[in-house]
Amino acid sequence: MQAQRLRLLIVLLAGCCFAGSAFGQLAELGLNPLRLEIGARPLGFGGAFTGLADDVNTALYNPGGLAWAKGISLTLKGFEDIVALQAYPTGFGSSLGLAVINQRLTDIPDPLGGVANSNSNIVLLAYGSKLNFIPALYNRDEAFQRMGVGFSLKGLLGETLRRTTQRDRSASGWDMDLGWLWKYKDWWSVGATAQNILPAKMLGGGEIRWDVGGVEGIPSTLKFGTAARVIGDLGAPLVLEGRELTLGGELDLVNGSGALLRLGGEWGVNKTYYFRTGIMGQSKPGGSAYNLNFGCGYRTEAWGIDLVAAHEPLRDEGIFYFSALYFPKDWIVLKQLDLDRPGLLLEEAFEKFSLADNIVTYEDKIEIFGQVKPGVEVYINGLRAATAADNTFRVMVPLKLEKNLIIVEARYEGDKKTWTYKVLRQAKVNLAGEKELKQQLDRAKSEAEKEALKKKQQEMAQKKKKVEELVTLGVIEVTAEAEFRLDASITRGELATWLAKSTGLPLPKVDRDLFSDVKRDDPRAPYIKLVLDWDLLRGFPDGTFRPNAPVSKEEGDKLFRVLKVQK
Amino acid sequence: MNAPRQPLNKYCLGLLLAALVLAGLGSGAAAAAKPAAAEETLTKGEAVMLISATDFMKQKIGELFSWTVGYDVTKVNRVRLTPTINYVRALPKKVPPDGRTVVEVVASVDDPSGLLNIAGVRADLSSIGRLANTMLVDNGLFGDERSGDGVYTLQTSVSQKIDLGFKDIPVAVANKKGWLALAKTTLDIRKNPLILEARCQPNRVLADGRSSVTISVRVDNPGRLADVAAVLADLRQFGLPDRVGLLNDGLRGDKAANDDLWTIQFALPAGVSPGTYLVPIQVTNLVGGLAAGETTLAVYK
Repeated sequence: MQAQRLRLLIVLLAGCCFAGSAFGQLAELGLNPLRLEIGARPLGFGGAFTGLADDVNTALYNPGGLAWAKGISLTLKGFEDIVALQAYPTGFGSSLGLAVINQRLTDIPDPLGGVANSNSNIVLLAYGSKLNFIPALYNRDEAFQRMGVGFSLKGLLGETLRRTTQRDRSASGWDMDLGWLWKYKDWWSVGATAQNILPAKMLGGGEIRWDVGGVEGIPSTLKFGTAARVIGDLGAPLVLEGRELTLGGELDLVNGSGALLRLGGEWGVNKTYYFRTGIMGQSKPGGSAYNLNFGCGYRTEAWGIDLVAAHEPLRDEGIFYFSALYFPKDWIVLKQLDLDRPGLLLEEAFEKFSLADNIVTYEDKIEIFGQVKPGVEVYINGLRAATAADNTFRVMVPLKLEKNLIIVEARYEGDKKTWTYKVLRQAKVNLAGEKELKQQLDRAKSEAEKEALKKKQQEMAQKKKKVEELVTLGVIEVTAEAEFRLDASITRGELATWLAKSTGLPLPKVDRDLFSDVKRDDPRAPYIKLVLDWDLLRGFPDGTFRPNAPVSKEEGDKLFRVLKVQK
Repeated sequence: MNAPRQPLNKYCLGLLLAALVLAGLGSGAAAAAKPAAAEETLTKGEAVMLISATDFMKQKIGELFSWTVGYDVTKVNRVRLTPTINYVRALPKKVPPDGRTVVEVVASVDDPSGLLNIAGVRADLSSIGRLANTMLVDNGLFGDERSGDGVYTLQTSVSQKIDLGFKDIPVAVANKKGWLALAKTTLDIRKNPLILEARCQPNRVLADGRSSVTISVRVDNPGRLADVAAVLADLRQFGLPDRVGLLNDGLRGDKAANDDLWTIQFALPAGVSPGTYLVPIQVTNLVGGLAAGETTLAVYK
């Protein structure tokens, strides 16, 4: 049954494509004023934006992605063409799109001789929503939350065409796009768009009417694309904090021009700097052209700029686009609904929250508490926190030595928002003599004595810091209760273990006794073997290693000279 | 007389001097050796400072304190902190909405830190017309069999206002560290009993006026079997009364009292014509539920 429906949909879409196949003045020149491929970011991505569709430009490329888009974009091409584009979230899991486009293209080679100039003014109205806007699907399945559908109506208010060999003319018309986007995973999305699908004459659209008489069809395009953030923060297949790599691909089936392939990539640094490149297939009279685009972008929390060097296939020359974007966080058409709509509620799900980012602690656990808005579920590191009747919660999260990432998730009616917090747990070490020194300082009477003790205390604190760092990194093992004696002699076995652990090198397998006093089952054997393999320490001629003998100063000096340590 | 004493004195003096020299040398050597031995060994404090000064350790320490390096999903502590719900069940599974049939919700729970860490077990009974936040107990009272065994119990009933159908009862277990585990059980709210099985034994009988026939009906009633009002068989076609009640008293052919099997025994009258007869069966219960069924009896001459 589903397969039948899919086949029917494909047939309908294909029918729509053929519906707009009548070519005329514009088609002769390779022009299609309703093919709106503008915006510095999408072009920098090689035009493969149908599957990505994650910013305001989606109104032009795939209205299915509008549900997740908001903001304003202003794009300039060569200081002549201007595109103003806006997407307003409605607060119902959907957005309204509006675009005003002025495109100008001059000195287009005319196959009939001479050149042609085209100037078009277009207005676009779009609407996109998550699929769960249908009451029957609301809150039914997470998949519907992740699927967006949309449409855009494109009105060609005025198209002026000047050809050297023909009289000037102007035209108007309108057409429609349909779009679908499925954010299958947080990092992977798939999209499809059917552009200019209106059959000729349907509702007075689907064609361009010339003032001098005659009409011509608007070529339709079917686009199938996908995009994946292969490197990124949490959720991406390869986790690399502060870095993002998004790859995208798209297949365009252009009525009358065949298939076009588009590939794009975007490399992001700290969610601030972006570098883009892509191979963009574009149709032109008599075939297609493939060109390499390059772009870059800069983002702050609420605005951004993008620049791209692309290619104009009709004139076969390079062009630059510049886009400025503005996307305020709390921008919404119906703000009063924010308590009822999951996506908006989750933005400010926490009334109170105890945890801050970038915490350094000695504790082996951290208490996290706060208060959420009614109905919001709190998950910490994937585990559900119990919320009381007053929507407060209080949980204890254990911390590992070294780095800890705490993932806090607020869920509400199938939607979720995630925050991450970094906590560094350092090992706490008690040094022998530390307390005594403090007591001595408390008892000291003369200033000179106090100064001397303070200096000693500072030195000890410095050494303590180093010991704690090594314990945190797992080089030294000290239990919380034990005291670490700085002045105790280090044994050869201990030094071998510390050195081996500090290098982080993989431990070798020990399958036989190393020395008469280091048996294969000695817990220090792999570490001793490692330092022997690296020639950091050596055994004695009598076949012993003497792991319990203290390391002589001379031996230590020699060793750390090899490791290029300056005293 | 003095002459022989002189060499002895000299000898003694010599010995004394030698002893003094040796003693002096010895103590000097020991004094010299003491600081030398202290200098010769590397202390742990020195080793720590030296290891920290190596290039590879400096890099590691730099990375340790960097907030932009190394915080990825592998740094998420995946220790199990939430309580465990071994099972949640409601007994009986099928209940009439009568407001009086006792439903027992039982949840067996556990916790990584032991049962003492369980803060509470609560059930949301709003789907059956009761409180949304009802506590289950493990105190050996109110239907709970044994105190402190991790099996929490709650006794309730289904409100008369509740519509028929399947109703979920979510159960939440919170521990003292603030973590929550959720599970649910489903109740089938229904009025009508079910006839699981109805049969005649034997199913082929000689109509000689002496042959005995036993009709057995196995019944599933929502709630308790004791709330079955009547199990009736229509035996008019055999010349017997139209509504004969089947019995569940362990007597007169019924194998056991108060089980789910109702029975009646009768002798087939001699005048019954040969043929296959459908014997209508009807089961009613105290909440007005009704089930109808039939069984087949073949009669021959």
